Amino acid sequence: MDKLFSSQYIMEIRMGFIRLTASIILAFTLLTPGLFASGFETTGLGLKARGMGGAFRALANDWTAAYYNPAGYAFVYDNQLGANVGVMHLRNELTPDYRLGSNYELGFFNDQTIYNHHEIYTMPSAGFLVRLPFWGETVFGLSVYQPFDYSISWTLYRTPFAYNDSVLSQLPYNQYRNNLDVVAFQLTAAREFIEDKFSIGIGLQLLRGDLVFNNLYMRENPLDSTTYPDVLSDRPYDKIPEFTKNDGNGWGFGLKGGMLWKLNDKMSVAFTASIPFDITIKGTTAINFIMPRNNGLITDTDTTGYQPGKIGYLFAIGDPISFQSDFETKLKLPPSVGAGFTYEVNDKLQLAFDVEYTFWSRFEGFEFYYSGFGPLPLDSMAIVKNFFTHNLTNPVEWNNAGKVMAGCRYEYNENITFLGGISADQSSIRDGIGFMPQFVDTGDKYGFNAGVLFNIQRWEIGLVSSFYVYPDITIYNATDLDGDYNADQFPGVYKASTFETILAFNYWF
Amino acid sequence: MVKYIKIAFVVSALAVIVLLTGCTDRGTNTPVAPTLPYWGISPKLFVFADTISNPYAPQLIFQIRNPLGILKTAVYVPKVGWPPPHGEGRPLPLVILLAPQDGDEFFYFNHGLRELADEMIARGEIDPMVICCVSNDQVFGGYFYGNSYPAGFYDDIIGSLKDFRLLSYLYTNYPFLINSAEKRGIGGIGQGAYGAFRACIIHPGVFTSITAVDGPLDFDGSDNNHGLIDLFDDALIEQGLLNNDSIRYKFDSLSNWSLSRMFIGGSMAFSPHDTNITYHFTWEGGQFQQPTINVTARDTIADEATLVTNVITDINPAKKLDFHLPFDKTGIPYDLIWSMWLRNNLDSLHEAAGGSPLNGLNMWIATSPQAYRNFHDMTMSWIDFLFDQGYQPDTLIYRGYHGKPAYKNVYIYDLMRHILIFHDNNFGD
Repeated sequence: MDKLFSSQYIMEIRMGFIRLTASIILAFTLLTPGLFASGFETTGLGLKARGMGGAFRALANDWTAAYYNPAGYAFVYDNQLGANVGVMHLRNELTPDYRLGSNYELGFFNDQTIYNHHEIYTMPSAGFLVRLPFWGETVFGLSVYQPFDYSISWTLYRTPFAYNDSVLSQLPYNQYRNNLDVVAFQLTAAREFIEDKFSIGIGLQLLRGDLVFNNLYMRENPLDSTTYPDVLSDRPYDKIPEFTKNDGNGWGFGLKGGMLWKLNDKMSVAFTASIPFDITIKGTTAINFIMPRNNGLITDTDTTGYQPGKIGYLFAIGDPISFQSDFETKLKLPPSVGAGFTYEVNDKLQLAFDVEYTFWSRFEGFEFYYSGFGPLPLDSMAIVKNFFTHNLTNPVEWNNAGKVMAGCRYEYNENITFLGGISADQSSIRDGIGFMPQFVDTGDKYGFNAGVLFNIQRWEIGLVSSFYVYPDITIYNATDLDGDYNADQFPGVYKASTFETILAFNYWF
Repeated sequence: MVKYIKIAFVVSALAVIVLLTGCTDRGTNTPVAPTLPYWGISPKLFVFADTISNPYAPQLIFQIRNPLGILKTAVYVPKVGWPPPHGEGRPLPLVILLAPQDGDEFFYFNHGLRELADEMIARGEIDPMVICCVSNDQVFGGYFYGNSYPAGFYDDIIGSLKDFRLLSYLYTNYPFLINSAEKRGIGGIGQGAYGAFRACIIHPGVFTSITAVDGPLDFDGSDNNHGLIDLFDDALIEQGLLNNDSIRYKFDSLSNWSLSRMFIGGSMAFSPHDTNITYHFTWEGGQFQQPTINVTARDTIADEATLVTNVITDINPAKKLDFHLPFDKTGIPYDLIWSMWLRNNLDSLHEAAGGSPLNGLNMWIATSPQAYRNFHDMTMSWIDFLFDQGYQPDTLIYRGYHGKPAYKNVYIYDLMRHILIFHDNNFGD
């Protein structure tokens, strides 16, 4: 009786500990901004996995298997709680060459090397797993992590003085911004189907998507010179800057699955698949048009076409026009498949090799549909209303991308383990179509990872540092991909590099 | 064990320090915008009357709806030119820019000239200069800056250094201007390009630099059979008068008949019905008040085949404004009149001037294959002529971007940057 009482008591303590920890993890994850890899996929999570360059599918022996291969849970025989935080810096550069017809300036900082805004991002994740006596013995886990994340912002534009010399202080700082977070709340279950040989695991995901997407659209001046005076739409008034800030969120679902087969005591293979479903993002948009300011027209003696209430006045007085609307867009996330192999050379050294293929072609960019507009000037005029309320798109034509990863793990002694890994990651935007500052993935990149893991009683504490080398990419034209007269790629020379450090702990209980 | 914990913390702390140091804040490196003086422009209304040698000079007085003979200008003056305390009293060079058809004195300013000049001066791309923008006539859109009673005597007004002409007025009103040919430039687009070259040919040595953008610089084009000739039937079609016998009393100047208005303005300048007028002013009080013109005699062109009569009228009946079109009702050139136009062609004026009247003039000419009204062909033909004559003009061939062809004056804003730099370079230090 005492023994039973003692077991129940211990179990209650464990469950209470788990509930408390899970609550802390959820709050911690939701309140902290995070990051990215290819496209806008994150570089991964977990100390061992990241230290080995992401080659972890066939190893999958801690709570982060929820991300890499849920089947790995089945071979974890102790309960575990873990958390890690990635600290990342995107150190990108853009030298704009945004001219129309290669000659005509719009106000972008052409030929000047511009840096993305300085931000040190954190990417937390956490989870736990417990072995429970259901359906034989099944290992369950709850984890929270970010499978997709990207955050970057730029200041790249200033209105030419001749276009409007009175709004410099009113231009937004975050002109091009993308803060895209997809957080997965994943319930994972795995069990062995052949004891000590073969397991299958699945993860059910509740996905939360958050999007802050700022963009500058150089809109075609709607005043046709056959109807309105030429001077209203001649250069430099031919393009009207429209700044938008879309801020919204939505929910969706996803699935993860995997299998792990231990070929013998030294070798294992794994296969995984991830299927996230679309997330509908809804929110509000702040829209700000920087209108042309033609001092000469307004101060001219002509009083017929350039008085308040006239369309000529609206397009020459230079007052910014700001209003809000609701928006809706679809976030199409890419499925992926992967495979892994691991080989234990001896008691101290273990090697791993993974491949992953992500179907980035499914991501088509964003189409923003607007409704519920705030007050508009001259909205009784169709040409004005259509111009100010036009739906906007940011189409992309991305490619599916492969990734190979190799890593090793060397157990120096019972307390210290060294980790190393490399990865080669295809860019999803490698042909440059639809390349924008909001997604800087300049080409096939190489990652170098190294770390150390300290095993202290029930604790694992460690640190991994990563460095990613990107090739430069030159985007040549401000091309309109969808025929809406808005440029869908931002020309210039892009350079990128990424630094990341991960701090992590795991606790076995 | 405590030892390992200490090691772990030390290593982690070091790693974080290294990471944060490696991720130093670079800023954004965005360029700083210059501060502009916003000194503004000065509209001026110049009235031309040589009260000393010719008290009742007719320069613009016969123009329709211009009873006071006013030439409108707007002048950009950099702040540094004005004497202290407003400015620095710095001596400045002068550029005159002539407006195209329908362009008024604010034409260049409405395309961003003031802000562009302010910015280029602030950035040190050009030295400060005064820029005088001259209005074209607003009734027909312009008279090609030609020379006749109904069109006005622009040859005398624009390039002459005599008193009571444009230059003299500018030097009087802006005493900080450097009165020297080496510090004097001229330019224009469309009819303004023609007017600028015309002024330089007729007044050799007055300007050191000229900039011209697509215009009627060779009336009959590169093969002597196109240029404006191709537009003759278009003008008739514009009014629904092709092959219509009634053109002599129906060929009109409604505001949306731009081509017709161009030919009316040109006809007023190059083939007016009245070629010589004997007139008499009555002037009141020694001030500029509306003068009364008494026409005492007229010499007229006898041919009536292309005469358009009694269509253009003025409140002053003494301003009889009949004219001869250079084409007949079928849109074919009418040689007698067309030859009068061709006598005003730049190559003819150049030949009539004798020698090389453009020697010493630094020329910059821009043209676009997308220009309207055959201006590209006419401009290229003029460039070829200049090279044939031994001149070495700088040329720029430009195009618009996709969806925005270089039609009419669309790209004058961008060209003005080249124009200002060219003049500045030729002004020297």
